[in-house]
Amino acid sequence: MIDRTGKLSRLAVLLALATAIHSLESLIPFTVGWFRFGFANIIGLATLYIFGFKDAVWLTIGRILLGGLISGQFGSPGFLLASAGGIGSIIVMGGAYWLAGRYLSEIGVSVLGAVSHNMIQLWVAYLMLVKNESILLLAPIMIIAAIGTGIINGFAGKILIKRMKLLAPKL
Amino acid sequence: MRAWFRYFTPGDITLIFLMCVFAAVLSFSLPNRLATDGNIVFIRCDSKLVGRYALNHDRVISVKGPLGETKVQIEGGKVRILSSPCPNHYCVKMGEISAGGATLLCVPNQVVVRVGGNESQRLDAISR
Repeated sequence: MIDRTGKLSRLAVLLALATAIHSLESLIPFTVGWFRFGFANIIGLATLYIFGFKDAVWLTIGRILLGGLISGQFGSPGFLLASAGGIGSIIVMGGAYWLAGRYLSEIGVSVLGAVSHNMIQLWVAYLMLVKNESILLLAPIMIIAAIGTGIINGFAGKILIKRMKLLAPKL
Repeated sequence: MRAWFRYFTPGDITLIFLMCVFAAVLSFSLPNRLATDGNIVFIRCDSKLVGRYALNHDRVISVKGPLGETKVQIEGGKVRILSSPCPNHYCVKMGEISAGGATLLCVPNQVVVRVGGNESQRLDAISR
């Protein structure tokens, strides 16, 4: 039995956290083009495990909208890529958790989410922005990078989920 | 070391391994799929084909983009962008290309120059 107010306030805190991480991360400078850690996905992962698929999707949509407004990217090509990748990856993670949750830990689900995030972004960039086949050559590099960030985020998400369940065993 | 590893389930390890294999396969197969024997220069503007030109026939082509005219020069089997109305002239600085699959592009003026083979004669597959 979950009380609705407790759930709502926890989701609000998670959304605020995800938005903050999402916006702060865009400030980290990288020499390698589009490389990002996608730390905001830690929150999406935790929401998926604690509150379920529907809330995780809403949290991701909210995070992208608010993050886009804060970083001033709302409506830009970067925003289009972020929304396609973010929403696509949370759907893949939800599917993976539902179908293969017995075999995969948080780390596996997170790796799948990160890889699908990058592949969807690359595909959308190809279809809508660049329209040149050569960009698809980035795919292997992006998969390897996603495996790395996916493992890191999976670990962080695992710890977060454990702590949150300790704090509120009812959830 | 052992403690660090026990956080992964066998499923995780398999998944990560499969992803690495997928990346490796792609990195070998993609360049072959995208490479073409280059003797034709394809010029696109706003993703519409402006024209195709033989690489061994020297000429200067001007392409009308949203910002103005981009001049593309074919000379001695090589293509370069001679001049462009874009602010940064990255396309001019890209230099000259000649290999199949190589691309010059000017994003502000939406001009894409690509060296390729005769696309209509390309084979889909070979069975034997």
